[in-house]
Amino acid sequence: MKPSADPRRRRLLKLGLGGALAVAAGGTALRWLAGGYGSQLAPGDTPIALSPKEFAVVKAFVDALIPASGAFPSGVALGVHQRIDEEMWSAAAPMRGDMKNGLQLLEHATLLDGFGSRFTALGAEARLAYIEALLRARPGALQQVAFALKEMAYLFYYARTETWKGIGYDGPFVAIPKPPDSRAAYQALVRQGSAS
Amino acid sequence: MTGRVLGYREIAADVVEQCDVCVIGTGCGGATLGVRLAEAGKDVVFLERGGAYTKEDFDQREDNMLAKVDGGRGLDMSDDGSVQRLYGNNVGGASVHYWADSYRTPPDRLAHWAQEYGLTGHGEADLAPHFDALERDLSVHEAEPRYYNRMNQLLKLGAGRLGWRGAPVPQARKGCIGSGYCQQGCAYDAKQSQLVTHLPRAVAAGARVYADTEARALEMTGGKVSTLAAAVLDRGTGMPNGRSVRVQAKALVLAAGGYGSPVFLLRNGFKARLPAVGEHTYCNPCPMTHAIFDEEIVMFRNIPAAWGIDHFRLATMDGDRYAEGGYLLMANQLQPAELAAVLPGTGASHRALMTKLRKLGGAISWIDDVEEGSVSLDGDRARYQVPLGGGNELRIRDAFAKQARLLLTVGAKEVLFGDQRDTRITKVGEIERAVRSLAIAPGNFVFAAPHPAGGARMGADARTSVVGMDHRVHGTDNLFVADPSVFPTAPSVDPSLTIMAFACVAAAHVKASLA
Ligand SMILES: Cc1cc2nc3c(=O)[nH]c(=O)nc-3n(C[C@H](O)[C@H](O)[C@H](O)COP(=O)(O)OP(=O)(O)OC[C@H]3O[C@@H](n4cnc5c(N)ncnc54)[C@H](O)[C@@H]3O)c2cc1C
Repeated sequence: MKPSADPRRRRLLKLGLGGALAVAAGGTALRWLAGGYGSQLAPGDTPIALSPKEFAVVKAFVDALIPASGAFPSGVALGVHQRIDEEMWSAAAPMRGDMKNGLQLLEHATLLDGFGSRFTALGAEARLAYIEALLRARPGALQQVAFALKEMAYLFYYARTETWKGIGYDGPFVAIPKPPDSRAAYQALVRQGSAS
Repeated sequence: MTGRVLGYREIAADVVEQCDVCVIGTGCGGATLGVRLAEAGKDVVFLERGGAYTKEDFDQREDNMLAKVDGGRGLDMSDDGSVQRLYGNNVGGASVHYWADSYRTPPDRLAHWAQEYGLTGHGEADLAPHFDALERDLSVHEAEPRYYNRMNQLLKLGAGRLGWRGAPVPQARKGCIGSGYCQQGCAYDAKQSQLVTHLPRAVAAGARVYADTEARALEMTGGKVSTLAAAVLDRGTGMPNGRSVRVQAKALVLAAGGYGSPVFLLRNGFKARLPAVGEHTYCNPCPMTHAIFDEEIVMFRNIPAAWGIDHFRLATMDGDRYAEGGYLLMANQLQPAELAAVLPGTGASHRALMTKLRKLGGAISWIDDVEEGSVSLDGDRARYQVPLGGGNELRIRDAFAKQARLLLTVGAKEVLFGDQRDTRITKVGEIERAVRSLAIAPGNFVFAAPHPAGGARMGADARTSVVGMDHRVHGTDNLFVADPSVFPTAPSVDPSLTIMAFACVAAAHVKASLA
């Protein structure tokens, strides 16, 4: 479903006005609508910082934003959604809290914006249309969430060696990667999480 | 005392230190001050919240390096998303990921600070000997033409065609190989950051550096800081690991950076006594324009800003009205993943841009912001306000227009302003209308803000400033500030050398206070 640009934009603007307050209050209140997301996790998906629902929203966002094409793998195939979870785990608590609330809101805001279905239940095309509308909406809570997710998704995607040939990047001169200490700490939790 | 650097793995028990001087922060401010005091025979202890790294840790991978050396892992924004706050979080501070542009403070700005804000002891003649020494110690020099990547060559060419004044940008480098990974930490120790200049000298003179150690609470007796309590952070989790460092120092110097020092003062209750704490802040928001060329640009290699346009550094007025300028104009440099994060568009349109990576170039400006921001506390959470309107907006629009003109003059086929609507132009005649249509609003652009200043400004009056001319916090006996939070405004050029020169002045005052 693709509603006409104008009405959608008007509704988005209204939602944006709520700003940080809406994220704080709305996001928290929406947490109880959490059913069923755990069962949607694919093998290898192990949210640590995010709830299964928040993780599903991130994954649906990445899936729409970075599809596979030609020699480029999709963002989901490269685990960009899991990398965003890692970043949220490493982030300062207030930032993580804002993002978690924002993801809760994003999942349901599509309904208010006339998309007829939750964000994760939309087709990839409708999700991308919604993301684009959010990015172009007036500043506000949801716009910031979409903006931050877009930044992280592209940052982590093009940081991956698998994408470099396609863009003509010859890569670092230092041969061996040396991940930050936070990576090992996070991955230990992921291993525990997938074991349980 | 034997100098050493200790990180969270080495700090095996709670520590109590007694010393002459404790310095919070190891960036341009803290390290420059600390080395001077250590080499003068003072017993110096540094506390640094971030990790201690060496060139072997700088693997040139963008996401790895953001996580290691950037404050907030590079993702911190101001409160409403108006700017992206870039700052250091490691031994050596932001100098480890800076571009190494090394300007002296322009004399007109020092004169302005003296006339408008009453600064003394920080004039051109006072700072000149410090600049001489710093330039020597950091090998500051003009880069030879072989260090100009194509974007810098084009910037110079365009400036010539347009009649805009420019010059080589002084560089703090020695033996640079032109890899282009300045922002990821120099894997060759060629960039003359604090990590390879002042800090090793300070340690050789006996200073102890506690990395992964966050300074938290001051214990005061009257106007005197008696003890500083700090928590050791586990670098893996970012959380306190239960160890503490307590420092009893004759003098305590706050050099936690322009974003960090005002927050430290707020958390320690100074706002009640000094209302200017957290006020009058600046950050040089950086509008950037991207361009698609027919030729290869490869902006991600070589020195980021080898040659710069200073023609518009000072704003000019038409009577009472702003006419133009108020920024530096440079070639932009972003590595691929960071470029991807700031490019406009989504899905197929974004991918189409990324596949042109080698032909993408761009320009960037640091706006000499005139509208003041502020930082405050909401509970324990720091809230940064950065206004984009008023005089800041006028300067941002003008910078966009000049960047576009320059890029089109040197052959750009398409110029992108980077806004969420993905405004693009192909002709000079389209600039005015396009720039007028841009919404200069939070969330519409990624304005990097790498040069925080103010928040603990210098002045004679405790009602309107935080530190005196001797860098001492008003009403205290032994608490000093030595970083850009003491600046009354932004310095109108990249700030590192100004921060260091001010820190030299501060060091002399701290030393005198110990006598
Ligand atoms: C990408 C980028 C490029 C830049 N390029 C240039 C350039 O080319 N030329 C130029 O002149 N300037 C440049 N700058 C700006 C310049 O790097 C900084 O202005 C300068 O390094 C700041 O020095 P500082 O000592 O004030 O603060 P910082 O370098 O930020 O140091 C402060 C230190 O204090 C620590 N700290 C904070 N709070 C605490 C606490 N509570 N306890 C313990 N430690 C604490 C921080 O971890 C940090 O390491 C650039 C900045 C960035 C981000």
